[in-house]
Amino acid sequence: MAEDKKLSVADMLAAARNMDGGGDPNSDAPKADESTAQSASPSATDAGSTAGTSQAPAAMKDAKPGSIAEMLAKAGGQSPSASKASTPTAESSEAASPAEVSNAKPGSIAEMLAKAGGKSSSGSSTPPSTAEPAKATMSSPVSDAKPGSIAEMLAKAGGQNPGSSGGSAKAAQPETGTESSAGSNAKPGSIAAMMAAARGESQSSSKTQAQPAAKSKPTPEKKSAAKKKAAAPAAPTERMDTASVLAGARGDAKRGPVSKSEAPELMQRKRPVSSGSPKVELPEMPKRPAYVKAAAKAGKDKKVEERRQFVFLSALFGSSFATGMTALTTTAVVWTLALARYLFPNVLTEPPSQFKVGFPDDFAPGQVETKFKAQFGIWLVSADYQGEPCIFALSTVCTHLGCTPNWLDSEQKFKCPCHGSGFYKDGINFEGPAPRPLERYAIRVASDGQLEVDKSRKFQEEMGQWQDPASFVAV
Amino acid sequence: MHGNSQVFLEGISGFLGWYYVSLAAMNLIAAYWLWRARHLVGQAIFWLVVALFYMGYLAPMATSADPEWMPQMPALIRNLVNVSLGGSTGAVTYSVGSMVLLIVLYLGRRFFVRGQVAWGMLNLSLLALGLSMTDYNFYTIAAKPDNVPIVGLIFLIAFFTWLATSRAVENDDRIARGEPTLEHEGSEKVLVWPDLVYTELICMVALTAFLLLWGIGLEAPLEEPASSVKTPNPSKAPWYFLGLQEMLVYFDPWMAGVVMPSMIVVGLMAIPYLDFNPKGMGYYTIAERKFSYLTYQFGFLLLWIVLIVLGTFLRGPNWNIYSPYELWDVHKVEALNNVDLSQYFWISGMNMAMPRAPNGSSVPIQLFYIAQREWLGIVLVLAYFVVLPPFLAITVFRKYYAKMGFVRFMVMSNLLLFMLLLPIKMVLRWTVNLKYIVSIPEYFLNL
Repeated sequence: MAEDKKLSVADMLAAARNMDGGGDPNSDAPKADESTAQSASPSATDAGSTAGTSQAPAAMKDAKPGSIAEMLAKAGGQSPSASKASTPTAESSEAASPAEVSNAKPGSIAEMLAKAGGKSSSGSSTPPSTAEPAKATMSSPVSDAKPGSIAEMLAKAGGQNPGSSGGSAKAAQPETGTESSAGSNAKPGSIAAMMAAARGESQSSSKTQAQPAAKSKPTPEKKSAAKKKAAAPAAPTERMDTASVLAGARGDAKRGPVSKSEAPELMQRKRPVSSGSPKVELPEMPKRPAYVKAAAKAGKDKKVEERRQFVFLSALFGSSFATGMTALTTTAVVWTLALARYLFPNVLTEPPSQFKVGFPDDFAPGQVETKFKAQFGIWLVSADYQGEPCIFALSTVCTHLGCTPNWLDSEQKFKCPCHGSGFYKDGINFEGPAPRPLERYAIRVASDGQLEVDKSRKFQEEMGQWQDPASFVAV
Repeated sequence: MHGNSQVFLEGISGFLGWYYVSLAAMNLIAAYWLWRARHLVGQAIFWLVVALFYMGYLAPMATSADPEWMPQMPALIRNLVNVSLGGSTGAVTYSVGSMVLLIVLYLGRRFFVRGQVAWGMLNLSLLALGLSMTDYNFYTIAAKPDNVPIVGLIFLIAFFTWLATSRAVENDDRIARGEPTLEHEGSEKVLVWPDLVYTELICMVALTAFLLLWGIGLEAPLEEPASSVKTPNPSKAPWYFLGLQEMLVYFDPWMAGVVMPSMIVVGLMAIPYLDFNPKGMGYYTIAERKFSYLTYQFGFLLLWIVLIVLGTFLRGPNWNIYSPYELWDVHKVEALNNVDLSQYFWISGMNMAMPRAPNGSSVPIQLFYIAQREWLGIVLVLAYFVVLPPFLAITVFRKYYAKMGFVRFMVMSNLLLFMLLLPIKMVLRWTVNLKYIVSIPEYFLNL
């Protein structure tokens, strides 16, 4: 048992999954069958000597019902006997070994799961790590007696469907000998037992191929059949998704992705339609009385207008939710409108776009006046452009990425500190990444003889706009 | 100047003393670990001697703050660096040198990932950093609170690259021998709770504490209120954008600021769909994924990290290239005269004036003149992006084309060509002062 605790969560989950598909009729693992048959034999003889499953409740009394797991185990042990049909679950025979059950102390849930896993994986030869402890537990029937996990319950539930529809004769043996005593011993307290009983009864009606011939050796047969259920699903070792696990729990034959070729077969055996179940016949609906129709017709023409208004209002304010959403929408609309208004302020505290910078005589030829940079964002340059001396206003925005270059008087160039663009005195780009010259603003001689710059008009060299007489003042 | 430098040396002597003491402690721990855990007595003694050298000589000499005795970077090396990196070819030397260094590291990776060699290189680089700190120009760059993370980044990048490469080299050997890789050997799965969540919690707390201490220890580099007319000189982006800023030097802002960053992001997202190599999942390897490895390291180390370091240590006022030991002289003259390809063709080559649409001509006529002006660049760019991929498909990347198929190969090759555009453009700028291959400033289209 100590080894069982080492099982990882993955192993436990794998075990649970293996258990889920308990009713897999495609048990293509003959090895597993043999091994389970062998392991089943000692407990089978045991069970034979103690007259079948009727001993199970007695054994349970010895076991300490301390843990939930044990309660579940009990429920699992009793459920098949409680059900009048022959439910081919593992527990019906396993519970027949009382001594082992009483010896088994309920350990941790992990151990229980591990046991469940060990039982299931006993037939599988693929994972060597889990196979070892599994065999160890197999030899002692203790582990068999503990159907503690939910997975096992699901396995039970799933195991019944294919047992009846798959046509396995062994699984369908009615157990008349143990029926009466088992039924009396069944405790109605456990939910699992009740569910199992309900299922078992519904199944019993559909079983038509029950072979009483196997009655002479009921327990070993049953044991092997039950074991097959537990062992067979251990063969597939690939990991499965949730849908497959659920499918396994429902009793579908194939787990994992279904190919197109397999699909029709699965569709056929999707769910066994119980042939003998009574078909529910519903009485016919009573006919609508005439006055109902008449009333509806009469009010329609009159109140249609009022009703529309009412629908509209109730959509807006009909519930607290609608009222809240209406208020929210209204607020959002008002807020957006207010924001739009905010973009057009009443007063602009910007410098005027037209301003006077002094008389043309104030600027010496070749001078770059930088004193308007801080306030107006221009350099006033008096320089030759294409051989003509003129005065113009250059924008202080670099044409590369919009930094503000500096005028380096000793190098006679504008130099941008961000990416190293350089411009000549006349604004033409010559170094760095700037793709085009600096921009000019409109400039003219005002009526009082002063130079007036208009920043609202731009002139770009690459567009040929520097030829425009508004872009410079000839000296 | 002597008095000022004395003041400076006294100012940093305490820091440098503790710096060397911590280096000594680092080597002492390494020596102890080699002795106790690995039983390598010879190596342990070697690193013990190194630690004693730090502790016994460098630390007290640095604390003395005496210019005669203070351990400094030799003037010879500083002059050499100044000449090679500070001149007009500094960027070329730096970039080519970095590339050569990375290639040497890659080719000799079997040698460089050894513990002894890597530890020695770490010691040498830390020593070089400590010695350089006595140079005022270097100190002002490296100790600026803005740049401290970059100094850390250099060492962190080096460490993680070493870690990955050493594991990859080990794994390649194991794969060649047919053994399981380091990651597959003895891999025991751990649980998210508590193993991962606790680790994350501890990391979170430790990192928060570290950031708090950092915030207290290094003052935030706040400056005067921003002004639209005064740009700091040099004006540097945050450290993680310095590579982008360097790209902007060579490209139109539209290109380097919008198109190429988008291409980087889209390209990184496209990698899983372009990759057809099933190997190398969940373990480090170089031999099994040579193309992917080299492409990634080229794009990350050379085109991003190296450019960040370039922007930090080499770019100075007016975005000129300065050596790390060079004074940041605002009036340093750098002879640059960038010329578009069309200007080369029409003015230098054909000895003609550039075709220019007559004033007031309509848009179609303007477009015609632009096309006539820029035809060479347009043809070259089209050839680069249209002709080159099929050519690659039938020559160098024949196998890749067969495995990837038409669409995937075209996407991959175009992304690759876009990435290569950056170094190509850099080299062209440095060598022939080429500004733009296609220059259509009228429509903000420059490449």
